[in-house]
Amino acid sequence: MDWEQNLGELESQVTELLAQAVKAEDFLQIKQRFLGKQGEISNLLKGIREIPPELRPVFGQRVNQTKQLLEERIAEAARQAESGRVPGSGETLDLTLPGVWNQPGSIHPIAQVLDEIREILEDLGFQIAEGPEIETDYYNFEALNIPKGHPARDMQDSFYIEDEIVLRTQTSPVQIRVMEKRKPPLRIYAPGRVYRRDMDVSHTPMFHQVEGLWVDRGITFSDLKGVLMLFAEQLFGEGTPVRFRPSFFPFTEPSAEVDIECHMCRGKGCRVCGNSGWLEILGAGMVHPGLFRRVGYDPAEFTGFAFGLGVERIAMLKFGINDIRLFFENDLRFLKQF
Amino acid sequence: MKISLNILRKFLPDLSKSPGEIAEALTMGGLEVEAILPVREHPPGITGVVTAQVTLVEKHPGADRLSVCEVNDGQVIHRVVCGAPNVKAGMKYPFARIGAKLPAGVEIKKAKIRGIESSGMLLSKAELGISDDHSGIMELPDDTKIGIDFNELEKDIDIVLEVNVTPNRSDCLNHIGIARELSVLSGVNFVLPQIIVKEEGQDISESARVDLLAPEACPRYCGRVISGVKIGESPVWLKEDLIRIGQRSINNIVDATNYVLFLLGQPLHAFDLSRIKGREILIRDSRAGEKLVTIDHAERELPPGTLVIADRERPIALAGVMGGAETEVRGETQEVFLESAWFQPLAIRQSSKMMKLSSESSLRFARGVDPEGVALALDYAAMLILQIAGGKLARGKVDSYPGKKPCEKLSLDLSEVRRVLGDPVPIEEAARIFTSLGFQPEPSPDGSRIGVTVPSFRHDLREPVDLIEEIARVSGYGRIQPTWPGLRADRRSLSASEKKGVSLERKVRDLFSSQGFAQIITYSFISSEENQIFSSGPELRIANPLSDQMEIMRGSLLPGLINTVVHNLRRKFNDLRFFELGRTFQRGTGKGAEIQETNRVAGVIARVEPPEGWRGWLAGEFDLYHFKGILENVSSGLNVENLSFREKTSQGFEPGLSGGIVLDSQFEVGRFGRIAESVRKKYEILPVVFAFELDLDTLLSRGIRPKKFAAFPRHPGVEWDIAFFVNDSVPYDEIRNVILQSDSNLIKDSRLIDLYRGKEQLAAGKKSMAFRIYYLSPDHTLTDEEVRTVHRQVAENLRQKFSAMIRE
Repeated sequence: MDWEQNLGELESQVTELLAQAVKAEDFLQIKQRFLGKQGEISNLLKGIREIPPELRPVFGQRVNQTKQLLEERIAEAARQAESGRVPGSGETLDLTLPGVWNQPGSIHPIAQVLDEIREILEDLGFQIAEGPEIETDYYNFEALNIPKGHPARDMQDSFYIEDEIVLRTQTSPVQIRVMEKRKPPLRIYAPGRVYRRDMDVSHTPMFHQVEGLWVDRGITFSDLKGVLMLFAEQLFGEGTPVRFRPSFFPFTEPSAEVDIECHMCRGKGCRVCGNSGWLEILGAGMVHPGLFRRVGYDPAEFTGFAFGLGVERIAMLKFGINDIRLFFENDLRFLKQF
Repeated sequence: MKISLNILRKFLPDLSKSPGEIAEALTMGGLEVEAILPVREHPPGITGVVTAQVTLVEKHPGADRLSVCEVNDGQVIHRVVCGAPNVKAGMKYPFARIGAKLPAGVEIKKAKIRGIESSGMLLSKAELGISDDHSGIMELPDDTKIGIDFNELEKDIDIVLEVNVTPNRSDCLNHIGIARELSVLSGVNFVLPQIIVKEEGQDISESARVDLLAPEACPRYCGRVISGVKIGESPVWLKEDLIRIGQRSINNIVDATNYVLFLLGQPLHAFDLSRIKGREILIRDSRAGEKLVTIDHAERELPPGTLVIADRERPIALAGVMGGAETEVRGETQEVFLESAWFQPLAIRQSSKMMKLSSESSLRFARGVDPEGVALALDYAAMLILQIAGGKLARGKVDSYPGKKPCEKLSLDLSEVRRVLGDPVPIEEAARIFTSLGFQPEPSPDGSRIGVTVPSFRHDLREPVDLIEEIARVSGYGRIQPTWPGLRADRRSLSASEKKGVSLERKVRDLFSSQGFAQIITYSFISSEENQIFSSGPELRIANPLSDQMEIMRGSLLPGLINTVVHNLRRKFNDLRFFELGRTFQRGTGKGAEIQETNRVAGVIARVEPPEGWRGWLAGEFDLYHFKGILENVSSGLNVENLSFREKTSQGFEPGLSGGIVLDSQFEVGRFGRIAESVRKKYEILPVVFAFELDLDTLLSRGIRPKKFAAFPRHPGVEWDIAFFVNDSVPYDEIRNVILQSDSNLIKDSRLIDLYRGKEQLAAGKKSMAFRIYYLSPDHTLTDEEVRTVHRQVAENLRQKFSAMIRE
């Protein structure tokens, strides 16, 4: 009889029996039947005399290999069968099965970024202030040095409910509302929805802004730089290079735009930053004396700085989102990633 | 605004900085460069031009100004006669072989020049059509390979900068303004180009008369007359320059005026003088009923009082905005009246807005051009027209300037600079910056103040703080040291309620998201049809919506949620839970009523199938009580007590399967239930949808109470059950209230433990209920007898109030 064939058969017999084995006794039985002193392997070895002498070393080696293999397989199968069995019960516990839970909900990325901004600002002592989303022309424009016909109105095409009633185009009107109600010192921030009549690949007609305002005696542009550098570093990571460059807003003078170094290319210039190496994150400036005069503060006594940022823009930078419209499509494939 | 570096060099001949350095200097000076665009395209129509090296230059024996060169084009050595002063041996130039074609249609042929045969031609930029530079042949860099087709030469002919000019800097909507700024910011020398015009023939007064009738709206009006012009295409360099800065070439006259607009910032208009009736030009307000066909061939009615240019009979141009078709320059035009004026920004803004028409001209007039630059630009344009269209310039010019004003003067207290910027600025530094800006600074003797004269082109400098910005901007924001003011806390809390509102919103958000809801944010405006599903009352309509899908300020958050459900069902999600936090809007009723904004939270659950999974959570049926359970869970998490759910059908909800949410038995704070069948049908693909909407402002102001500890006795209480039959129509909470009120001293709580409504064993319209009652005395352990007495009272009350049949 062909001993190689015998070895092969032994292996498949063991495989079959292991598949049916459940209890510890079952595995013991299989082990005795094949690997015991009177077992099949021992019997096979007894037939060594019938093998021609020159083949005997090969024969011995192969049988021993098979023996070792079977030992390992029986032991592993027994171990697997034993693990997870709840002691004293017939039940099997598989702790790797997924837990039974309520499918998780999610918090909108804009809300998450707003939270982060809020926490940073509150740590810096800013208090929340709110204002209406449907504003008067006075608060949204006039009081902010944007009289009718001012070219800055062209930048912000607005939605109107009626004459003089407008969906706020910025959170800046909250500055005026707060200053009218209170005397300095004050340090506030105002988050919320704003609306501009603009809809294309990079604009949605509604988005979110956060406005900040700090007014006191002796507040300077140096302070604006210090506070906003701190803010930018907390939002985008310590050591993030920040630069301030001149810009224009009707309600601040001097005005600045604040850029952080592009995190994609580390300032070398890439598609994300339009090859400039910098990403704009917020606008800021020293409160224009005209605003102070309008709310009854003495510009010779008080100075202050204000800043504003677009939450969507920050969220896009932080999460690597390339299409602003995704925020308002509310597709679960998007929402579930946050 | 597109700025060509080649054009800038007209004002900055020494400009040698790289495009990157120029962009950086402008950006950090407040003129953000958004893109640096190399111009590589070669003018069309060039063939047979290659790069070549001149290997030998000898004097032409027959002419002083000519040289005879040997030119290596990579294949053979040609002998070429050249007249350029800058030809040198060893240099590389573009070379036209015999048979080459140049842009103007010129073909290069073999030619004998003063007795010497020239087989080809070395080319200037003008001959190549790249610019108007005739001064010499075009020098190529040393590392240029020879024998390469000129069209393939990768060389930036020009660089165009896309500059974002902020609305305050109308002086920079042109090349001269940017050049001025660049000169200030990087120290490159600024020069004004020379303007030389040759006047000849008769005086302008003999061919045209100007009558300025609206000196308020038009403080300055200048004009010149050129006769004998030949209308045609512009030279290639002009066409190319215009294309680079984003303009179209029309004809040589129009192109010349356009070019001057982008060069000097002064809008100009050229009229065909022969078509101006009576050769009279009037600047006046339009009269009732007047019309004008503008050059875009639209007939426009002019509202009375619109500033127009008119002839003896009719308006011929909308002043500062657009010219008229009737008098525009055309092929047969020979005599041109060239207009250069200063219109009041407000007047132009008004006519542009009223006519719903804007142009490059109106944009600049509306923001303010330089009143002192009007005549200069006129002369520059005249010079250019003479150069490219020929003709004769009449002697003299019209310059009516009734609105001339002295330049404004400002005075800056230097201590203010420190108060605003934080850093002091020495008076010498301030004076240096103001000098470079052309402000003619005059420091006061004691060094504390500095006076300046605001140049006529700067309309943005009105008060001292504007000068502080100029100092900061020119010296660089980067030079201002950051400081951190003391972060001392401001103890007066302005915003207690707003602060609570934020923390309530955050709690609501966390509670719903932990219940499996995904937060969404939808637009605040929706269609009227959607709005009316869940809201009634007057709608708050946007006067200028983007579309009728976005015209109503929402009265409810629910339409946005339903839309989101539909969006995601279409994407094969089948177990949906969403919520949104946001404001709803309502116009108050009655006279002078204000618009109300209410902070709300709303949510929906829509299930086509139970969630998948090996053992799903809530895998089985999901009904209104599950939904209510979620709401109760959230309200308990918010610490809102005294919420009750009452049967009430509100708009958009299914009658009998929905209700109202009431706080303290009196304040309506919300609604919940199943969405009405009629709504489902509207959306076709909707499954059963449960929805709720809650008013957070009312909850915040009335619902959330500070927690109070109540002492509890250390001794145990007892639990007794009571079971009974009662009419099915009696609501649970009424029964429970009767139980609790039977002895408010000893009964601490009661809980429904069984409810049976099956048809078997029960008379029709009856239900079987069992309550567990928790008895506890505040001061002693209750005896069975005490409990039994109260328990009997409970039974008696149930019998009397509800005709309940107690099961013993």
